[in-house]
Amino acid sequence: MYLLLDPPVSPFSPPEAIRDWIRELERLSARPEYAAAPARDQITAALAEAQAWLNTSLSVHASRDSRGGADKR
Amino acid sequence: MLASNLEVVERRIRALSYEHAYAFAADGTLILDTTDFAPASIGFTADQLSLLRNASLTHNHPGGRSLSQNDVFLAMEADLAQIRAVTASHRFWINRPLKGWTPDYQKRVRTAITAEKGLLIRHLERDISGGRISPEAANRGFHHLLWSNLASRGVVRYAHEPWED
Repeated sequence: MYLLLDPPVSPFSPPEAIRDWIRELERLSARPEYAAAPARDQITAALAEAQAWLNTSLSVHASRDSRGGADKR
Repeated sequence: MLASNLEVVERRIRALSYEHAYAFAADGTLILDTTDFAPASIGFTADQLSLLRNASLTHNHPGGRSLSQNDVFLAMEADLAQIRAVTASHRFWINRPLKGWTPDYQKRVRTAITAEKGLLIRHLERDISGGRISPEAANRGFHHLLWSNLASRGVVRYAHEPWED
C-alpha cells in the first residue's frame, strides 16, 4: 500500500496535538496492510518528523510559558 | 467538465471530519473515489496508484491545513497533473511542472522542501521568540507559508483561494 499521510499538526502546534498525531501514526503502523514498504517506510519517516516537531513545540511553548510567568511576576 | 466536477466533490468533502479523495481524468471522468474514514491519511493500492497518471486528485484536510509534503510526493509518484486539498475555508493546489515530474525535478523539489522547512522553522522560532508572531499563528500558517515560499522561488506551481459561498 502507498499511504498518504497529511500531518494535522506543525512544529508550532501544542505538544499534546503532536503527541496525538504520533499516537495516530503508531496506530497506523500496527495495521497489517501497512506492514510492508512503502507504507511502512512512510510511517517511519512521518514518526521521525513528528518527533522532531514535538521537540520544537516543547521548546517554543516552554519559552512562551516562562515568558508568561515572568510577565505575571 | 473537470473544473465543475472538482467543484461538486470539493464542496461535498471540504468540511468532513475524515479524509476522502477523488481523482478525475482531464476530460472530467471520475477515476477514483476512496476513503479510509481516517482523519489524516488515505491508503492507495498499487492498482489505484496506476490509475492516477495525468489525473487531478483532490481530497480534504480536516485539520484545515494546506497541502502536505506527502501530497506532493504522491503527485510525483503517481504522475498527477494536479494535486489538490480543500478545507472548510480554502482550496489549495499544485500543478505538475510544464516539463513533467522528471527525476531531476523531483530531486530538486525534495531537496528544496527539506531546506525550506528548516529555514521556515528557524525564522518562525525567531519571530515567536521576538514576540512578532504567536505560536498559534505560526502553527496555522506553517504549511501555506512553506508552499508560498517555494512558489516564490519558482520551485512549485502553487495556488490557493478561499471558498466563495
